Amino acid sequence: MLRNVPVYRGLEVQDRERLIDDVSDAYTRAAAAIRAREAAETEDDSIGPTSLEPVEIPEFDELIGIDESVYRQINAALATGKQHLMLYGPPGTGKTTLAQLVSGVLHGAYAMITGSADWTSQDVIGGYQPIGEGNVRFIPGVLLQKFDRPLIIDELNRCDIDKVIGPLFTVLSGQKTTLPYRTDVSEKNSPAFVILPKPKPGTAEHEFAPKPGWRIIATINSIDKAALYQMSFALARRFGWIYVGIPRDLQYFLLAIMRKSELIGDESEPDDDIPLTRIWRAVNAVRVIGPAPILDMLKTVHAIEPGINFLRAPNAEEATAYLDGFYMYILPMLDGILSKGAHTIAAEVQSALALDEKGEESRTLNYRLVDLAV
Amino acid sequence: MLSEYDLELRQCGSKKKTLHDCKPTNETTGFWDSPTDASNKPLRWLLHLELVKDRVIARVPNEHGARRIAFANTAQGTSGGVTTRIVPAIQLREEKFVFYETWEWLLLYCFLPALPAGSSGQLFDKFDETSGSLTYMGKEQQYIAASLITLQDDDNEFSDPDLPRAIKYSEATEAIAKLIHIAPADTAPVGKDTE
Ligand SMILES: Nc1ncnc2c1ncn2[C@@H]1O[C@H](COP(=O)(O)OP(=O)(O)OP(=O)(O)O)[C@@H](O)[C@H]1O
Ligand SMILES: [Mg+2]
Repeated sequence: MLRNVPVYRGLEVQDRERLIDDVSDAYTRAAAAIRAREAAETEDDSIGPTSLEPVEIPEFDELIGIDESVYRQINAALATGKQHLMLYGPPGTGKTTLAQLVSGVLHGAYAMITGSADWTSQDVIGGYQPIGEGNVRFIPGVLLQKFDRPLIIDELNRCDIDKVIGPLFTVLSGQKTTLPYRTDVSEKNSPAFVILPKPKPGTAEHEFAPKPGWRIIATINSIDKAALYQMSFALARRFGWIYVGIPRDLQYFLLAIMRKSELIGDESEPDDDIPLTRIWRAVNAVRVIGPAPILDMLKTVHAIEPGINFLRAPNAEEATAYLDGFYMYILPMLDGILSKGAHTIAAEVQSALALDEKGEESRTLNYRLVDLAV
Repeated sequence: MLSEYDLELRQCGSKKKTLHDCKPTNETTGFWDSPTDASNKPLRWLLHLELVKDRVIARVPNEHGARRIAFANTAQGTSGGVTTRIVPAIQLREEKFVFYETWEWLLLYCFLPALPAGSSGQLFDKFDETSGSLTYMGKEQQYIAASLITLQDDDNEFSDPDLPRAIKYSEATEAIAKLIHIAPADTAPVGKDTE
């Protein structure tokens, strides 16, 4: 509603009080409006499909070259009532994207946290927190706050798995967990909070129960092998493990992506491997990397040389653009490779880009790769 | 009060005590000397006051950046209130203004939820005094309340040989309140019908 700005005399006590009253009033009303809006939204969310209704995950257009085994296994896990999924595989194969798309189909919404070494059970489950005037209260963590929708734990390998999901373990195995937190800290006999393993209508104040849409979808980057072994067998067994690998046919994948982004025409079908395919293949022989860094490299080359023909061997300027993309996105993924591998990659990149063997650029390429090697 | 909602107040220009500490001003235009430079991070909101037919009127200077009323560090995403300091440039005659800092006003805007996190010097821009609309990070920004706070005695007077008569702070306040319209977001709880 349009009106003139109200005036308050800052030097007068009465006016200052009036200002405080009016402003607090505005905050109270706005907060109530937000709560009402959120309540309305949460009701909508819980209408989402439940894990009990069979939902078929379709192949997603957004992702290209994902092996059909991935979809087959996800659907099998869901059909057999496996609630939680673990997507693992080399970096950049689309695991995070896939987790989001799957959550979207299952529920239309999700909560996502990205693993980090300093995650604690306080962040995930919750814990006592000061609420002013020397009082503390149990504040639920992200899991309990969003107990009605899929929780994506992205890059689970980056956090201390047992510390983060450990407290959830009993829940994952179908038992009730009592948390070491009471509803009223000052009242010794007040009930402790509990997490129930299954949905329950009409939960009490101290009970957290998942809604039917809740499940965990975690991703693990399998370069980090240690993480896979770090997880106890008992915990691992609660998940359906789905390997998301790199596209089986690299050339096919690259051509499909380029067609989709109109970098090449529909009918172009080169007989031989294009430069990018050769580079990616050479890298994969040493260390497997998914499409994401290759796509970043592709975009970089195109940004520097907009007129480039990706199907042909590059001229000198174009080769420089390829190298820029390679240095920016591929090189950082190769830290710690063996020096033999560094040499084979260098040789293949040099040949794919038709670099002069004795030229400055070949020398730099070799030097940079070997520098990363152990 | 704000802390109840985990919010903080940002006071734009509070670190610079006087106008002199800010950027150079121009007495001919009644605005910053270099509009582009100073309007990037406006430390004060400059308004023109003029005595027209014995009545004080206020206007927004017709200058580049005059509608950028404030900037604030909103990077934490916890800003629930922003104040800006208004300093008048009183027009004495054609191309002659005085910046009269004895008179200041605070303009307060309140937000809930907090302003979306921006930069450490995020601007409030394109202020439209007739519609009350405010632009923040390229979008129209809703606010839940706005107030003009006076910081001087109503009877305080400003006079100058160039002016036919002295003008009072209260007159200036009234002129500014007339100029600035506000349109706070409708915060009636949803679900209730409003008549
Ligand atoms: N198969 C694919 N088809 C199309 N785009 C892909 C594919 N794989 C990855 N991408 C794109 O690469 C980017 C990164 O993918 P995403 O983050 O999902 O991979 P990730 O497997 O989670 O990687 P990381 O292991 O590094 O976390 C996204 O923009 C995604 O769209
Ligand atoms: Mg990822």
